[in-house]
Amino acid sequence: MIEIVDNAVQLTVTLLCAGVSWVHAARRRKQVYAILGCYYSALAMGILYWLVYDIVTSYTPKIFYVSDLCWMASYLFLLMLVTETAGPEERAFRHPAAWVSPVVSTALTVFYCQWGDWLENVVWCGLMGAAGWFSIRGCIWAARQKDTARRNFHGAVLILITVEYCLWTASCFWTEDSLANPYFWFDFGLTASAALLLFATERAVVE
Amino acid sequence: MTYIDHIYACMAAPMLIGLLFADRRWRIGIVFVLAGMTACLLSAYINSFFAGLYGADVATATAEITPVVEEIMKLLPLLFYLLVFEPKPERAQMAMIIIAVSFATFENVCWLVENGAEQLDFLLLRGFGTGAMHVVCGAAVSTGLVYIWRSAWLKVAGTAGLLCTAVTFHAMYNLLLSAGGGAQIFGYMMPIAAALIGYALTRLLRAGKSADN
Repeated sequence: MIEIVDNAVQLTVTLLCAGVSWVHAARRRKQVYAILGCYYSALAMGILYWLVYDIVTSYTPKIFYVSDLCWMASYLFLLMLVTETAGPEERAFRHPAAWVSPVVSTALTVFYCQWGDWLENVVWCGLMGAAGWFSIRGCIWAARQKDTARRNFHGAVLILITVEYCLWTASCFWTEDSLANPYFWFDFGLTASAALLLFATERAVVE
Repeated sequence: MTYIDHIYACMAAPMLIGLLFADRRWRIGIVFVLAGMTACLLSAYINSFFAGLYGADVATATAEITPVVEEIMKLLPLLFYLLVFEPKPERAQMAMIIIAVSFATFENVCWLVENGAEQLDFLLLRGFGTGAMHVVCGAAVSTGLVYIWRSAWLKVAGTAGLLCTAVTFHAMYNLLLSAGGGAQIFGYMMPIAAALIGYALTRLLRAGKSADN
């Protein structure tokens, strides 16, 4: 039951965020809102399928292709969001701390391969590692430039990635359908961080 | 057991003969019909392979494996056409519609051979439902692709996004159909309603464009 409530909340939030992003994209004619709209729409479609599957069959999908494809597309849009919004100076900036993200992603890929399909894990962690690399670099660059809005935007992306990794790690150890399961805490956290990304992007782009 | 390859050979043979006599303009239409049927045939083989690999039963395979495989297979001929021939947007959209229609037709023929053709009311519902689902997915993908391929920055992520839209719609349709009862009727009506809404929107957009001109 908690799984259905969790997914319903997540679907509502992502649909709202998608709607707001598309309205901004139509009114302000800014590419970044279109990418953000695509990110939320892809995320919402994956959740919608997962939720309908859960309601119709009373269990979650065994083979994750459909939802995973949507969520991978959404992370591809997130990666685009991080790279496309960076200015020329930020793009040229390099810092060794950014490599923490690919290193952590590689270690977690090896860890997750004990449970799931290796190809899927490599694609997932590759996307997350790349998005993390750009965000850490952007965060350090924005801090040096004293650009608070941009730093918060990259911070929101990093929070999203961290919560997602915590969620996956929790799913390896806990499976029960109750609120005592840390998986659901992280999933609610993921919903909140997805909504946070909308506000952080609005500030970073508009201001 | 359905000999899907035998059905394919029987249906494709007249078209192959027709290719020899059709002029250039019509030949491409026949090629896309064949492409749609071939995509359907190959999808059936790939579905069986993955179902065997994951040990999935019919319901699981229908709801989780089939939509992904079928939508990717339908997209491949269009991607080839876009990459190699760089057609005008209207021609690319029409190509995808033909591929989707022939895919749905071949699927329905195979279903009829396996299940018989006694119940006309159910067959009408299935015919319109499956047809509308494949056409709606095809139209959404082709319209989106034509738009996103104009922007280099959107090509990869945009194609993945469109594909996931089609896959999710297809998967929801298959899932609702397998549920039975009211959900099944809703499943059949969902693509028909989407097709009607899509048709009305297209007419409205065209009317708006001609009013601007």
